[in-house]
Amino acid sequence: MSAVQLQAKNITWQVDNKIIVDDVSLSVEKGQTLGIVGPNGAGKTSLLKCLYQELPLTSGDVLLDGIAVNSLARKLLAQKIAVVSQLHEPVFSLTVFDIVHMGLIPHKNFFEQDTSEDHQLIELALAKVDLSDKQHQIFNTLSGGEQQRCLIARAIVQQPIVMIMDEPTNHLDVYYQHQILSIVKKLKLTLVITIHDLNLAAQYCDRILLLANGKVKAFDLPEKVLQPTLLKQIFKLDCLVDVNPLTMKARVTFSGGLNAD
Amino acid sequence: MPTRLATLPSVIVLISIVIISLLLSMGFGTAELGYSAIWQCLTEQCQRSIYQTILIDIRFPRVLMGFLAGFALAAAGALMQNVTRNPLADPYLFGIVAGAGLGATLSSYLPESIQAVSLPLAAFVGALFAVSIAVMVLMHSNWRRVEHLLLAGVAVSFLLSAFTSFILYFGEAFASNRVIFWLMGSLARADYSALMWTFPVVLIACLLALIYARQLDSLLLSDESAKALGVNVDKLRLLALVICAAMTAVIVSYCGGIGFVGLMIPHIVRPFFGLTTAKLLLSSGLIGGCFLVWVDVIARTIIPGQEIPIGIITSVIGSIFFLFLMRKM
Repeated sequence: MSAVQLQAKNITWQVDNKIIVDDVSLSVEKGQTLGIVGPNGAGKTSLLKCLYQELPLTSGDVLLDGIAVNSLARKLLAQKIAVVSQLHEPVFSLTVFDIVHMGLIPHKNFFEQDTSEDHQLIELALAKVDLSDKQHQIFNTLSGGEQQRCLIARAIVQQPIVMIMDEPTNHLDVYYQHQILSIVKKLKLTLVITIHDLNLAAQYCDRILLLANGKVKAFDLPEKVLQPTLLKQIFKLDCLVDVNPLTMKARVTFSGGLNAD
Repeated sequence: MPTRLATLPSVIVLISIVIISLLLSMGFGTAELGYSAIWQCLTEQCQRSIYQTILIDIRFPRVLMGFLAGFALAAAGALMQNVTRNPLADPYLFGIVAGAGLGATLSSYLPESIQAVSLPLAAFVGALFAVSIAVMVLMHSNWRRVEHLLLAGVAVSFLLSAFTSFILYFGEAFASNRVIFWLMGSLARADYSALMWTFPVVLIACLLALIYARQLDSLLLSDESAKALGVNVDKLRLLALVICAAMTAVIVSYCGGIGFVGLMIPHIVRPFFGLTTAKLLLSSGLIGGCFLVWVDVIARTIIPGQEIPIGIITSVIGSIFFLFLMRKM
C-alpha cells in the first residue's frame, strides 16, 4: 500500500477545561478517503479544524507527509490542504467565478497578476464540478448542491494534496449527495470527510473513524467499524448490518425509536 | 439586477464620467465665466488675469480637493464594507470621524502659527485613537462577531463626540463656532498645500489596499474560509482598518465631517462594476470623487452669494438613500 499522507498523533483540543477532541490518532494514506462519523456534538468538526490548524492543538501532532503542520507557514499549508467547510451565505452578491477565483490566493505573491494558465485552471475546475455555464451567476441564487460544488471548485483551484470536507452532503437530496461524493472521489486526492449517513460512508470511504464524545471508538475498514453492537452503543438504536446487494458494501438499517421495545 | 460591465467598458465609462465632471464643474461658481473663457484658460492664456485667479487658484484646487475627498471617503467605505462584510459600514459610523473631530477640536487650542500642521496631525491621531479603542475591545472578544466592530464603533463615536461637545460648550465662542462649522464640512479651505498633504496619504493607502486586494477578497466569504486559504485574517483586517482610518482622517482634517459618502457610493457602484476589492475600491473612489465634486457645485451655487456646508448636503442625500436601502434589505 502507498504511504501515509496525513497523520494525527494523540491530538487533544480543549476549551475552558472541557475536552472537545480527546487523544485522537488517525492516519490516511495517499489517495484514500477517510470518513469521520458519529453523533451530533461528537467533535467531528472540531477534529477537522484541528487537522487543518484552524484550532490550536492542546497537545499532540498533526503530520502531513511526515512534517508537523504547525511548523508550516499558513500560506504553504493552504497550498497543500484545501478545506470545504459548511456553507455560509455571503452578504454580498459574489459570483461563482469570484469564489472559485479565491482558490488562487495561496499561490500568489503581492503584485502577481492572474495568468492565462490560472484562468484555464478555473475553467477546468468549473468543468469538473459541472458549473461552467453558471460561473457568472450569483452564489446566493444557486441551489445547495451547486453551492457545494462551487466551493469544491475553489478547493480544486487551490491544487491541494489533501482535501478536508465538513458535512458536504448536508441538506442535499439523494441525487446530489452521490453527485458531490463522486465528484470529489474522481479527483484522486487524499480526502477527509465528516458525514452523517453511515451508508454513504460505507460506500465512499476506505476507512471510517467513529467518534463519540471526542474519543475514537473505532477506526478501521467500513465493514469492521459498522458493527451492530458498537453502533447501538453509540447511536442508542437497534440496528441491522448486512451487505447492500447493489454496492456490495456494508448497509446499516436502524430499527427506529417506535419499535425499539 | 443591472448587468455587470466588463473591465474595458467599465474603465471607459468611469474615466469619461470623471473627465466630464471635473471640466463641467469648473464652470459653476459665484462668478459667471462661461465655458469658452474656461476653455481658453485651460488651452492657452486666460482672457483676463482675474479669470486666472478664480480658475487656477480658487476653483481648480477646490474641484481637485472635492474629487480627492470623495475618492478617499468612498474608497474607505468600500474597503470597510468588504473587510467587515457589513454593507452598512462607513468610516463615519465607525468613530473615525468623531475621533478626528475631537483631535481637531483639541488642536484649536494650540497657537495659530502651527495650526496648518497641528490640525491635520491632531485629527489623524484622534482618528487612530478611535479605531484603536474599538479594535482593542474586539481583540479582547477574539473577533468572534465581526458585526460587533460596527457597534463598538458607534459607541466610541458617541463617547468622543460627547468630549468634543463638552470642550466646545466651555470653549471660547468664536473658536467653538469655527470648529462647529468645520465639523459640518466644507471645501472652502482647499488649496494646493492641502492637496499636497492629502494626496500622498490617499495614494499610499489605496496602493496598499490594492497590493492586498487578493487577500482582502478572501474575507468576503467568511473569516474561516479566508484562514483556510492561508490568509492571516486578524492582521489583514487591522491593516485595512488603519488604511481606512488614515484616508478618512486626512480628509476630515482638511474638509471636516462629510458623512455618508463612504456608505452610499459602494452600494451604487457594486451592481455595475463588481464587488471584489480592487474593482470596488477604484470604481467607488472615482464615482465618489465625481459625486462630491457635484455636491460641492450645489453647495456653492444653490443660494446665490452664499455657501452652505457640504456635509449638510451629503447627509441629506445619504440619509434618504440609507432609508431607501433599509426598505429594500
